[in-house]
Amino acid sequence: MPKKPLSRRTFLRGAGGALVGLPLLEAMLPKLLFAHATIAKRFVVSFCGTVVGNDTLSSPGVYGALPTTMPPSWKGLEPVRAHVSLISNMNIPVYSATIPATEPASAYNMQHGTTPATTLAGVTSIETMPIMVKAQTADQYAVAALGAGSKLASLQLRTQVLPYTGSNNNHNGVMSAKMVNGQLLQLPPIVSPAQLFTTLFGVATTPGGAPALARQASVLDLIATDAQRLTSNLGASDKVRVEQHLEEIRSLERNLQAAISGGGVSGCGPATAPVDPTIGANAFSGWSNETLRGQMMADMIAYALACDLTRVASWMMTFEQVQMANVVDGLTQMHDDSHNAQLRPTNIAANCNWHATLFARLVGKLASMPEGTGTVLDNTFLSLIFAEAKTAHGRSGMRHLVAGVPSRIKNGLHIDGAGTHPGRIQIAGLQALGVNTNTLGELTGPAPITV
Amino acid sequence: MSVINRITLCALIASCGTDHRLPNDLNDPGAFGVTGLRRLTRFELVSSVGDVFGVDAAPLQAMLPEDLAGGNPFDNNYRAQTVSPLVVTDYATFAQAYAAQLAATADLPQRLGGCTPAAADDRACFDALASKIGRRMFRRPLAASELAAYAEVILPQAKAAGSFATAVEMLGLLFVQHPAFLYRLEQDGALDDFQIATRMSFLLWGSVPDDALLDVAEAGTLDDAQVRATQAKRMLDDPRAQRNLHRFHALWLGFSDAPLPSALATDLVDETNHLIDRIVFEQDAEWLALFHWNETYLTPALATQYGLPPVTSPGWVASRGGGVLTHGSFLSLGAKFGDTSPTVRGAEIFKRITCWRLGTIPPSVDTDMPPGAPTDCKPQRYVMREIDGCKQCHGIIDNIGFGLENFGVFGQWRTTEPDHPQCVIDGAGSLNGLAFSGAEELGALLADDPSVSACATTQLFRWMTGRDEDYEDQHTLDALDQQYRANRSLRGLLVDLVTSPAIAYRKGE
Repeated sequence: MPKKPLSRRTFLRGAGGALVGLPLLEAMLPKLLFAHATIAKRFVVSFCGTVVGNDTLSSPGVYGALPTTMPPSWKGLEPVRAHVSLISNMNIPVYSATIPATEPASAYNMQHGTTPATTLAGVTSIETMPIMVKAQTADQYAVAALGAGSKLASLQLRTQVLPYTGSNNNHNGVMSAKMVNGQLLQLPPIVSPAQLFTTLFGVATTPGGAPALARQASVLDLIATDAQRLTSNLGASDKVRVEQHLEEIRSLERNLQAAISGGGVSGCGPATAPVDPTIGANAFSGWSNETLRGQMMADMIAYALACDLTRVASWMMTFEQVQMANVVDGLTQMHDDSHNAQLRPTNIAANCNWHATLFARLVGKLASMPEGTGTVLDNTFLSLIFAEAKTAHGRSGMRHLVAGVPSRIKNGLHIDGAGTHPGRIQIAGLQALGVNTNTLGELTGPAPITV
Repeated sequence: MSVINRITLCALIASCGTDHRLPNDLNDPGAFGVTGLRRLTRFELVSSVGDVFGVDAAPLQAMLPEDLAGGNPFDNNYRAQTVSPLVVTDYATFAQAYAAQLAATADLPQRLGGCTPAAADDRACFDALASKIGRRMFRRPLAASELAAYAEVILPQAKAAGSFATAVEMLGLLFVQHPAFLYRLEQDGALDDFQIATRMSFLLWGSVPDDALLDVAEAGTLDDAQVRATQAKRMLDDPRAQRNLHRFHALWLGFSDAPLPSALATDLVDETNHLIDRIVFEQDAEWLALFHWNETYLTPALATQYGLPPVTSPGWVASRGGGVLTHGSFLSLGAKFGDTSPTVRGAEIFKRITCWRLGTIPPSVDTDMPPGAPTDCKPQRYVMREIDGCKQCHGIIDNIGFGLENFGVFGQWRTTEPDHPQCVIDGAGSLNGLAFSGAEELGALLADDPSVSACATTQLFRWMTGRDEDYEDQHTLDALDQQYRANRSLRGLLVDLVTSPAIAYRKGE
C-alpha cells in the first residue's frame, strides 16, 4: 500500500504546532536518492562569453568520432567524450545599419551582445553592445513543457562573479528571460555557490531542520493570506506585480509543504555547504577563483537535476566580452586574448578548455547518477554555447557542445553543422526531450544533431 | 534647455530644442511624473532591517536578488525589478538566515518591545514587539486583526518550542519577506501621511521611517509642507542621510562596483565619502564643488599612492585640485588596455557629469582593438581625434580624458607614460572647445557649465523616482535645475523636494 505523505497543514494543525521533540513520522523520512515515480526530462543550457579554441579538431572537414586524445582546446572533454558532441560550421547571419537583415535570428553588426538574442531566443538582435535577451529563451520554453512538479521551475546561475570592468555598462549577466502576461521578464542568476546551496538544499541544513522549515511555511501561508489587504488600494499595474509576487510565494510554500510531507530533502543533495571563494578584482582582468566556483555549481546543478529540485537550468559560465583573467597565467583577460588569438594560441586553447572542462564535469556527474535502467544524463539535454567563432566577434563558423539524451541526440561525434543557425540546436534539444515544438523565435527546424 | 534635449548624435553636439522653463513646475502635484511599483533595492533592504532590528544584515546581502541595471547609473529602476521564483526564493533564504540571527539576539524583546517575555507564548510581549517592528517595517500601524492573525499562528509554535525566541524568529521571517515591506505600496492620487513619510525616508535615508517621522504621520500633519521641511532638516542631520548620499554618489559617479585594488579600496571610497560629507553635511557648500574642491582626505597609504607629501594619520590635506576628478575611486572607471583610456574617461565624464549622450558606434569600428602603434606616445596613438567620421566624437571625449592623463588608473601621479618614459604627459585637454590643463582647470570649467548642474539634478531625479526621465518630465527637470541654482545646496534641494506638493501625490502607470 503506497504511503500517503502528510501535508504541511495537516501536520501542523494535527500536531498543534508541537514540532520540536516529536519523533519522526514514517511519512517524513527522507526520500531515497534519485527515486522518482516517473523519470523527469531535464534541459540545461550553458554559455561561454568568448571564442572557441582554434585547433585541428575544429578544422572544417574533420568530422566523425571524437578522438581518444583530444587537442588542448577540448582536453577536458576526454573523460566524457562518449557523451558529448562538438558541432562546428554553424553561422549566425549578420546585418548592419546599411545592410538589412534578410534571414531569421540575425546579429546586428559583429560586436558583443548579439549571441544571446539570436541563439538563446532565436530572434534578430537589435542593438550592438548590450547583452540582450529580447525574447523568451529556450530554457523557459523547456520550463513550460518540463518544469511542473519540481521545487524550482528553473534555475539561473552565473559563475563569473563580476564583469570586472568599472566602465562598461554593457553587461548585465542575464541569459534567461520569460514572457509573463505579455511582459518580458529577465531572470537574474545566482552567482554565489553558498547561496545556491541554500536555495536548493537549505532545508536540509537549516539549523532546526524540519521544524524551521515548517515555521517558514507557516509564515509564507500567513503572507499569502494578506493578499487582499496588500492589493486593495493599488492601481491595476501595481496589483498585477504584487499578485505575481504572491503567486511565487504560494508556489514556494507548496514546495515547502511537499518537502515537509516528504521529510525534507535531506536524503538528496550534497552533504556540506560550500564556502564562496573570495571575490577579487583589478581594473584589467579579474579573478575570484571561478574555477572552484564553477566546479561547485556543476556539482550542485547535477544534484538539483537528480533530486528533481529543478528540471531546467541556465548556466552563464562567463559574461560575454569576458574581462576575466585567462587561466594560464592570469596576466591577460580572456577577451583580450581573443583579439590576439594568433599571438596567444596557448591562452585561447586553455580558455576554451576551461569552459569545456566545467561542462564535462557536469556531464560526468550526470552520467554517474543512476536513474531507472540508465543514468540521469540519459534524460538530460545539455548544450554549451560559445558566443563567438574562432575569431573575435566572429559569427561564422560557430561551434557548440551538446551532451545527453543519447537515444535522440548524437553523442561522441564531431558534427558538421553545415551552415545551420546555432539556435536550431536548442530546437533539437527541446524535441529530444519530447517538447512539441519546431520553432524558437524566428527559427524553424532542428540542427542536424538528432539520431 | 532640458538635459534630455542634449542628445549628442556624434556629429552633432550643438544645443537644440526650445526653452520650456516653467519655474513653478515643482508646485505641480504631478511633477514627479508617472511611476510604477517600486521594490526595495539590496541597499535599501539591508539598511532598513539594520535600522529596525539593530542587527547588521550587510554580511548577508549577497543572498538577496541582484539589482538589475535599468539603463541609468542607479540600482533602483523599477522597470527592471522583475519577479521570478528565484527572486522570491532569495528573499526567503535571506529571511531565514537573518531571522536566525534575530532569534539569537537575546535583548531584542526588551530593546524593541520594551518587555521581557514571561513565557514562550507571552501575548502581551508579542503584541508589543510585533506592533513596534511592524509599524516600522510596513511603514504604517498594524491593524488589530493583523496582530491577532500573526499571534494565532506564531505563538503556538513558540510555546511548542519552549522559547519566545521562536516568536522572534517567525516575526523576522514574516516582516523581512512580506511584500508590504519589500514594496513601496502607494495608491494613485493623493498619498496618505504614511506613504508620504515613506517617500521622505527613502529619499533622504534609503531606509524606512523612524518612529519620530511615523509619529508625525500618525498625527496627520505631513500634508503641511512646513512640517515636512522640519522633518527633512532633522533627517538630514542624521547619519542615515550620509549613508544614503554616499550611495547616491557612488552610483552616479560609477564607483559603487568599481574594481578597486583590495589594499586601497576602503581608503579610496572613504576619500570620496569624506568629500561628500565635507560639502553637503559639514559646510553645506556648493554641491558641484565636488569637481573642484582643493583639499582631500588622505590616509598614509593613499598619500603614497597619489605621490602627495606623506601623512602620518588620516586627515585633510591640500590636493591637486579637481575634487573627485582626482580621486582613484572615480578615475578607476577609465581603464582599458592595461592603462588609462582617455576615451573611456572622457566618455564617463560626458555621460555621468554632463549627461550628454554619445552616438552609436559605427559598424566598422572594433572597440576592442587598442588604438595606434604600441610604440607611439598616447597622443599619437589616439588618432581617432583627427580622422573624419571619428573626430566628431573622439575629438570631444578623448580631449577631456587627455586632460586627466597625469593621473594613473587609481589616481597615482605621473609625468610620463607607463613603459614610455620618453612620452611626457602635459595634461592638456579641452572641454567643448575650451582648453584646460589638468583636473583643477577641468573642474573649474565643469563648475561653470550649466549642463553640469542640469545633469546633476537630472541624476537626482532619476534616483529619486527610480526611473529614467522622459519628455514629459522636461519642465520638472528645468525647475529642479533652476531650484538648485538658486542656492547651490544639495541639502537645500532635498528639502525643496520634500516640501514640494509632488512628494504627496502619485501618478500611476
